[in-house]
Amino acid sequence: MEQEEPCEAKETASSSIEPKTPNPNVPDSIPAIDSDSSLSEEEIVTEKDRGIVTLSPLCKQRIDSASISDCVLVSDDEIIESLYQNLLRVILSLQQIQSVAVVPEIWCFDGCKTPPPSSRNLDSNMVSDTCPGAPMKLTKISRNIDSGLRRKLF
Amino acid sequence: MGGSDENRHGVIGPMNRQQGGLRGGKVIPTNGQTRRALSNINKNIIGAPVYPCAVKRPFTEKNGICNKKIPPVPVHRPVTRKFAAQLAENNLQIHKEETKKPDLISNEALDRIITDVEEGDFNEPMFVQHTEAMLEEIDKMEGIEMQDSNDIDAEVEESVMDIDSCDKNNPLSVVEYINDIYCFYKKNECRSCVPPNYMENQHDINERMRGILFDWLIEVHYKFELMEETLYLTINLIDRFLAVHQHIARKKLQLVGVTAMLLACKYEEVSVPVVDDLILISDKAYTRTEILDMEKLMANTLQFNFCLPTPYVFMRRFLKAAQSDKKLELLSFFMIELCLVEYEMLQYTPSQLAASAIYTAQSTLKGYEDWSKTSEFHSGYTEEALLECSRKMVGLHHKAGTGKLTGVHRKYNTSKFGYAARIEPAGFLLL
Repeated sequence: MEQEEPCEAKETASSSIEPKTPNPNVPDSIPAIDSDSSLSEEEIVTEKDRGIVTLSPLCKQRIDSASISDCVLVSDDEIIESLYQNLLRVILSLQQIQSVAVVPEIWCFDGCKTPPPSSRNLDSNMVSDTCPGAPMKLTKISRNIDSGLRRKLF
Repeated sequence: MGGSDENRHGVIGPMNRQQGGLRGGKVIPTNGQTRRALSNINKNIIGAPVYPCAVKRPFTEKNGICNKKIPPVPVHRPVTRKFAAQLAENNLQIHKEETKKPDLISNEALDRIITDVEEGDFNEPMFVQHTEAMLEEIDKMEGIEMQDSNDIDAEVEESVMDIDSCDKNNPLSVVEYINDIYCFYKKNECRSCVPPNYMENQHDINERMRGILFDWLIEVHYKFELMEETLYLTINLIDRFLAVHQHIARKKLQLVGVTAMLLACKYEEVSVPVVDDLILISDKAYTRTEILDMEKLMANTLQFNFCLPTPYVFMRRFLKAAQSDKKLELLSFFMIELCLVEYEMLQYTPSQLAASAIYTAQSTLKGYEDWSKTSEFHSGYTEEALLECSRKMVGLHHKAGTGKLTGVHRKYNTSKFGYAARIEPAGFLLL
């Protein structure tokens, strides 16, 4: 391991030495910088140009689409709501009609009709039939009490 | 020497003479038999020369001892403890002599010693047998004692009869746990008791009024043909209510009585008398509302405790233990109903009243005190414990038909109740 570390140190030293050698050659370094700066500038310019160009039409298109969509959406919602309300009204009216028509049919079983409250209150005979009296406990008949037993003691 | 010779002739002589005299003509065959006997004797005589050797010894005292030994013939003598002891002593002497004898004589002595040792061994089993016999006798005695103790226990157990054996097939008798039920009753009967002096806390009523009320209720109970347990429950409810509710006006006492009967009937009877009947028997002294209000008051005051044991439950059990007949049963109930009317009897527990009533009735009918072990076992009371209460019952029996409170006497002076009131009281119990 110790041997490896010196190698790494050497490599680092060699790498550090190698860049020093081009330092005396000033023209080599200058062109490189120039090339980088030129690329970056080009890129910056192109990007800016592209951005400006691209953004402005997208924005415009979006704005245009938005205006169109807004008009369409509002109109569609209104239309849908109006249609929904109309349908609900129709459905409810139909249900009411059906309920009025069907209820007596469903609850009118043969031989098992519940009399209306008015008829219940009016007819006493019906009450006696539907509500029989509660069962009463049979009690023994009063005894024949001897007169001598009847006494007030105190 | 001469003495020894004389003995020999004497032994032989009498035998020959006797045989010759008995069988005169045919002497020859008998002589043959006598010769066999004589031959045996001769052998014994041959053995005797051993003694002359001893006689030849210079010590005269030892010779004398030997001479003394010759007359008793050891072969024919039974071995007894004393003789065994003598033999042991002889053996010791022979052992001593061995040390001084020559070799030939010592050998003969050793033979004799061996035989003597055998005799000694024979004696030891006798002692062992004796001790074994003694031990056997002791064991037998112990066995007898054990049997005696077992017999005593059996007698004690037999004296307490199994009164429930006849009801084993009757599920309503609940034989398996009837004893547990009565143990529970006995344990809880104190809850049904009231202070014997609770009337002292009442301001407007007294014990005489209590007697009047109960005497009348007994009559009502009889006329209404109610169940026996209804009466005892009615009395119990009244006493318990009055013991707690200490401000009852005398005008309301009869109301308490009829209401208690109504409650008892609702608990015990199948058919309950109507409230109107109770109003009628009280001569319309109370209204329907008053009776129903009193019913609520009594039920709440007693906290709806209507199933506490009364004397009736104990009467049924103790009468069964006494193997009672109808006459004893009726007289016993007569006794205890006399106690219901008397305030002073509140000092006794329901079980004690029941046991005393049965004891008093039994003694009355038999003419002497009678309280079996079975009754004692099942009631938990000895005869001595019942005497005090019993004597009071006899006193009540004496005065049953006198005075104003004659409801019980009139009830039991009917054919339905066997004219139990007409039986003479057991005056001997008062002595």
